[in-house]
Amino acid sequence: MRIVLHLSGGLRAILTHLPEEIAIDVEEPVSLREILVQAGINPLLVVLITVDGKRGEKDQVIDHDARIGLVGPMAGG
Amino acid sequence: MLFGYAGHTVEINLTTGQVTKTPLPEDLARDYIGGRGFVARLLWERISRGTDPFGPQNLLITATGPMSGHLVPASGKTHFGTKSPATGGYADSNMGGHFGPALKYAGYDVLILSGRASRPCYLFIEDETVELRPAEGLWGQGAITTEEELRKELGDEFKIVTIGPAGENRVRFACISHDFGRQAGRTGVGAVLGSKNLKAIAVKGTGGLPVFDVDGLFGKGREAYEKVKAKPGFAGWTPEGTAGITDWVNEVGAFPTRNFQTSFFPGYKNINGRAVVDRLKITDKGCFCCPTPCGKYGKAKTTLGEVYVEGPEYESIAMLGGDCTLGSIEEVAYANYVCDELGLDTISAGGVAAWAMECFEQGILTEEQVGRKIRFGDLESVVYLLEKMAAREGIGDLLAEGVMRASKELGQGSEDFAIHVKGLEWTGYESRNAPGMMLAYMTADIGAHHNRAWALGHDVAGSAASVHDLISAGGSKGKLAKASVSGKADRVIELQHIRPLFDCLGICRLQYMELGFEVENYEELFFLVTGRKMSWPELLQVSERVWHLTRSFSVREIEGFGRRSDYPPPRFFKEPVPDGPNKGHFLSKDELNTLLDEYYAARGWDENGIPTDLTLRRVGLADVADALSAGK
Repeated sequence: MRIVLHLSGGLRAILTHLPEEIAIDVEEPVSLREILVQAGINPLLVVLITVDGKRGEKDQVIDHDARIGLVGPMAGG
Repeated sequence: MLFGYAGHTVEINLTTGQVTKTPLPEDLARDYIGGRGFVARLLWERISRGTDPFGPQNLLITATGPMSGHLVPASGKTHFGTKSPATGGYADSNMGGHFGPALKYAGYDVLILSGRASRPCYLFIEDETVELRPAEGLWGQGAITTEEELRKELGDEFKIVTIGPAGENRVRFACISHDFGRQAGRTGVGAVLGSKNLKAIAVKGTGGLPVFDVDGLFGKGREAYEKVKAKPGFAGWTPEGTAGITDWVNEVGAFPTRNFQTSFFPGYKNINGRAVVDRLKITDKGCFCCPTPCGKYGKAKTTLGEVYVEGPEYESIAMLGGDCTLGSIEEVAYANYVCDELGLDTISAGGVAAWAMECFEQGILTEEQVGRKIRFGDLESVVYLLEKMAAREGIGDLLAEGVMRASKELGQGSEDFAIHVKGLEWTGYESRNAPGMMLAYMTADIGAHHNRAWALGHDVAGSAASVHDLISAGGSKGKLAKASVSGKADRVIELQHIRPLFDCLGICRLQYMELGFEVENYEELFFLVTGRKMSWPELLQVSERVWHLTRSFSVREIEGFGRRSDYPPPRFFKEPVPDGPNKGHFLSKDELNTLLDEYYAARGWDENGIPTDLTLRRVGLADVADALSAGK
């Protein structure tokens, strides 16, 4: 499976060494939390997640090719 | 010609009714850009030392930026500035919506209100026509009700700002309201409007704005709009808006709970962004030219009644939900509506109500003083306090002063848990294990506000365990390590220049800060609108100049202003967090001094936090340096 992570600007403002897009190939179903760790992203820095455009959770298991949107820390209004 | 700007300032002396229109000074536009920059410079020049915030000599300045009202993403910001009745120092507060663009289309970049009307009135502006109209029939009405009434009378093309009873009664944290749920909430700008007997401002503008490169802006503006919508965070962030961060703020132990006694609210999933969407939301609601509509308009039903309300935004959830411990999103939304209609800032009002409930718990306030029993988690208690504050009735007269003044008067140790800096109540991020955020709150120019530098994400990055530790801990679950204190100043200063720059430009910062819309886009859009070629670092230099100026204003206006003005309340340096992810953590007074020492040195301020003569001259504020050294 190919899982593509898309990092928001708020996240990249902190993780300045990471690109806007990271592709990870995995063979077994895996939780988003584990994927984040594999990508070198502290899960605590991820505020919101989307899976193929729909709201996801960090403990959600991914078992198919997916586009993951990662929204980093941001202030309220 | 000043491209991008409407080109005029209009001043209304409310005492005499005189209206004066003058060309916008080119050097003001060059050196301060607009919005917050205009407010800061004009307040410095126009207000005499010692001016009473509620006196007729105080000014209420409304300012737009060069990008306001143009085909630029989220260009609907409007700024209000004054000498604050909450802090006695520099104040500005901004709001989204549609008012600023309307003011520019009417021909004005800046609107200055001076004096005091002899009777309640509202300001009517329709292009060249600027006049005061009677408002006795509106006085005493709610802020939302007033907007509805004026819309009915004038028509939907008018963009309207109002105050509620709290502003009329000079509650020191009264806000200015707009568009049925947008507010310039902070620093008591609504109370200054009330002190001038001005209930509302209604504007209709039909003119155009000069643009340096119309075709270029049309193409780039459309492209920018699409680029923002294509950003990776767009789909995740927009559906819930700012309420979507509620879970995360609890996960990292920064959620204000029970008057900041702790930083984790067990019931947070009942008041989070998903609850807003699932149980309240009717529709999204965006500001002028915004591709990311973060406003959520919805309906809430509680035991006290049913209301339609915009929000709650995250800050209202934090301060009315966590800090007052209201347990359902419907209750938070109801209290939010009450604040909106009364014209109260939800942040300060929530903080004041929470402080009062803790005083009651400790026996510092009695049932006889309050007029009834009050307790955390009880919607009736919270609404009772809000209504008393806005009316200045009974205990409300004390609470309407804000927690700094109220705790000084009440004493008995209540100052230790009066959560503010400089007299402005704290916003929605508990910071006992977030030294960067703590420093940002301590040094924000208007008091304890988050929008000048929001450093919490960087603090979390520094306080969490290593990635490898996180794997064995199952991800991010568990207690956080104590964050290191040193080395925070540079990051906070950088943020203090970036975020307020957007307040000068007259656009919302969310597309940049949250979605990563690149700075190159802003440089290009600024050029296409104004014809001025300025790099991002050059723009930030203007923002730095404004920062030193606002600090200097407060140095001039507040006796003894300096390091002592920058400390948080004793709760934050004496009481460890009792539970949650940051259990046991706090920042000692020595650690706070380390934060301030490094910050003042990096700023070019002296050990007491006063901008030095050299620094002021370096940033182009020689006249300010001269005035401060002369004690003026």
